[in-house]
Amino acid sequence: MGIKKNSLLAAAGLSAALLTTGQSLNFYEEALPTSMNPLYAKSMVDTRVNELVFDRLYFHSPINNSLVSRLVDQWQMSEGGRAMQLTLKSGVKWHDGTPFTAADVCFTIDAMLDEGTPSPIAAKQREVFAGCEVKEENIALVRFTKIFHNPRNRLGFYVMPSHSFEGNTAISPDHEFSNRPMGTGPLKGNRGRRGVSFNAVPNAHHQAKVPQMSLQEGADPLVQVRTLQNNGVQGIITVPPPYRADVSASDELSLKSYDLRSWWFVAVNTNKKHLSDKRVRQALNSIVDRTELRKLSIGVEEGEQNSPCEFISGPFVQTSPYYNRAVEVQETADLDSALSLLQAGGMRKVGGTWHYRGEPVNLKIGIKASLDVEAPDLLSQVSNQLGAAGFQRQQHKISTDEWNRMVVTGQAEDYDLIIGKWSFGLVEDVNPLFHTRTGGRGGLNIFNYSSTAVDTLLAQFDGARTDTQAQDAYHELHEVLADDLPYLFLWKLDTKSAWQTSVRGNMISAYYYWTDFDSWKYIQ
Amino acid sequence: MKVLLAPLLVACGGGAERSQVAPTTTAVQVSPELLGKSWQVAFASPEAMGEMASQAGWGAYFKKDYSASLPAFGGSKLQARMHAELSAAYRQAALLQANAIEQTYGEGQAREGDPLEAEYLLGAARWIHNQRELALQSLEAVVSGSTQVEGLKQAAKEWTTEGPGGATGMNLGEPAVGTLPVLPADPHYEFPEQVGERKVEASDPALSLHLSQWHESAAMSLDPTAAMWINPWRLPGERSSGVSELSAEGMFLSPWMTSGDLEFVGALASAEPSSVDLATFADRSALAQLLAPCSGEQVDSECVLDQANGLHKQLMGAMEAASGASADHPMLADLGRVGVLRAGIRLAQYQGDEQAEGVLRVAALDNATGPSIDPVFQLSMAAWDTSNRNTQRAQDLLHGQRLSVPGTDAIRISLNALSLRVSRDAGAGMPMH
Repeated sequence: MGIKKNSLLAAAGLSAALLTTGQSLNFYEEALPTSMNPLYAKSMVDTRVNELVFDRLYFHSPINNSLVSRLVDQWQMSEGGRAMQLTLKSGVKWHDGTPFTAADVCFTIDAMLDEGTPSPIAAKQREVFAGCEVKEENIALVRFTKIFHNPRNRLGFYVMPSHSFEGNTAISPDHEFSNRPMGTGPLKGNRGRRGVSFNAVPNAHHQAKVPQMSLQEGADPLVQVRTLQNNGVQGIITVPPPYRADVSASDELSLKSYDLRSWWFVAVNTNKKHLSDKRVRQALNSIVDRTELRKLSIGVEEGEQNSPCEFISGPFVQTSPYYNRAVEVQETADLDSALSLLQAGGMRKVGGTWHYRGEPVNLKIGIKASLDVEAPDLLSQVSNQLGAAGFQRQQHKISTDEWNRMVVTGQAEDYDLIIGKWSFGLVEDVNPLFHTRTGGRGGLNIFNYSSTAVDTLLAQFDGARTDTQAQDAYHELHEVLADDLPYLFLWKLDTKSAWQTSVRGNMISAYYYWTDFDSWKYIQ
Repeated sequence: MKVLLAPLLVACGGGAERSQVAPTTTAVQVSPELLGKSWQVAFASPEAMGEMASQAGWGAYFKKDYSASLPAFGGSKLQARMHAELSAAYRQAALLQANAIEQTYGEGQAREGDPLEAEYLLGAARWIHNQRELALQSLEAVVSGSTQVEGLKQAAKEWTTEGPGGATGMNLGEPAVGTLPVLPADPHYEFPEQVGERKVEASDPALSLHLSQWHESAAMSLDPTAAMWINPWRLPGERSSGVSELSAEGMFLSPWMTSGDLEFVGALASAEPSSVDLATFADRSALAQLLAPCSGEQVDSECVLDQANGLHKQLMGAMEAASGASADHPMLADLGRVGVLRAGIRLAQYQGDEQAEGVLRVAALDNATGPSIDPVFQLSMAAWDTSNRNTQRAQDLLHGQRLSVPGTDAIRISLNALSLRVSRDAGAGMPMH
């Protein structure tokens, strides 16, 4: 797929002029962050911004993966392995100059344990932490719900300042903190209407070499790449595959790998009457020609080796130990199979259009708007394939705001199909995606899918005593979901960033991206 | 480090001062003599390149399709090189598995329910790590836990001080040049867990060692000098074999520009500390010339990056000069750039500079595209990641070699066991969009 000409190119020069000021390092993100409160991070953009503004208590070095801390000086287990005493480093301050203390560590844990904090991230942490006690100003005793192997791995949460909330541990997502956060990280961030500006805050544990940064929302990928080539920005977080060759060809730019487990899907509204029969969903799965979609929207030719885009048959990337290799991928369309499945599922074709109970089926299809940048025209191509098979369609691009308010909260019930992407770090917990929405579970279940068999397998995964039990549960889940199809699973797509070669020391860490920001340099 | 190339020690910035922000500058260019001997310059003309590109063996090797390149190079030194590269790849696969097993079942990592037969896997892993006494202790400690135990005990007995025996059910047959051996089905074992009734799939790292030996024997029977391709990738405790001069054709599509570079990298990989003098390689290795100013108490990774980019430009110019303006082979120059980075990794390893090694490893990965994606390096990187419990990238790297290196599914089983353990230790995580 070639790079299309775009009239917006002219805007690139203007953007460059507007963005290049002082020593600021400017970059394009996929979108603006929705919240800069770590407890309410919903997107990878949110997560990446958190990594600049806050410190995690422990983190893995992006160089050699060793588990280290910028905040903890010493640790020791106590209470028979159910608690850990942490002695904090001295001299660390919040961005307003307030000293960082053990009270902040315990405040963060207490906030996560507070049922008045309606955060899905906090809800997960309640399975890990039982409490926290301030022993001394610089000593905190963290209590766990049980004895964990390698318990420091559980301390990868962002620490928040008690004084910003006046000690109130019931933290609302609407608190001003979400726009103007206070951290101990290398940069202080302020969100404006069109971007986020960051300023370095020297600290005992951070000495950023880049004094200022500016995050802008990227739109047309060609404009992004041209602006980068003109040094209007110095980096792009996500470069779509068709544009990577253009970046590679330049001596002034470098492509950099960003390790992220991301997979793409089409969620199917199983609560719509015409989609409630799994044979109809299986028919849709047979109509979707993934090979053609990948060629048209990602630019991958059939049979291409080392493709950045690899098909999947379930909710895991192929490199995951949870991926069930026995479940075959549907790479191309099988329209004969689709025809018989649709008929068996109660559909009738009248005048070339599929009808259900006498009414023509009109599929409302949406895509998260920012994904349209990464896989251009995917929405149109999916829609075209369904149209060619005999379905009427409506296409919609869903804004980030609508996605957060309606889609992930299970309220986008008027849609039939929604195209999206999920990203994971080390933990591939898909329970929030497929569990019945009940008792805090299924918090990201887009169309409120519900299956007793699936819920049982998810419970087996949660309760697994051994690694093998957990793997078996997810292997079986993969098989069940590939048959029941609340999602049409599409592909894993790798992520590459592009940076000017004048940006040095720019080690990109898996998932969190900016973990080693102190090493970044911008040599103008 | 002995005395380096003193005249070349000019401003390359940084050195031991890691926090220094000052830009580094490219200080050294490769001498015209050495550059002229590089395979890139030798095949820069359209005619020479066309001749190479028309050969089926190079066409297949360009895609790292060893199953096609092996027979296509029938009976030649190039066929020996293909076998030697596969031998090196399986050595790194064995190392990857050994690292995964040690990190899964080794000291401080054992979990409730782990199979008793994990002791056999630990024995094999320790053998690969050249911990012979520990290995024998583990192998002798294999106790009954399943119906497979007798087979494992037999396998354990065959692991003598001479090396792995013919592990049960893994007879690969006599080495046959120009072919790939038929692999046994995986998983090789299913061990019962001590909790519940589930079974743990396991693969035997001995298979990777056998495969490495099989290909090494095939390579040596064709051309003993092919050992040079294995030298940079030998396992702990192994000795390097002799060196000799390889032709430009013999080095074609390699990250090393001349056989002097290959000799230099092999020496760094297997040498005792402080025994390599870069100056002694300067007359025959462009990489030794380029890295000399980057080496001090530590390795200046930014200097290495600058040198790599500088070489890319220099190679482009030299190819053009050698064959006229029609020579435009950025992909060949890319291989030169990657070679500098990979040699820089070896230098950092040799000097015990883990920070520079890590930075250069990531840079080498980022800069590898098309033919510069080398299965041996990718597997060595995966092995290094595995030793660091960084399973996510290791899995991606291993998966990426499934078409080039047969048997990755078996290797993956060892890595999966570690990956499960690491991810279940990692605590809470939410899907993000």
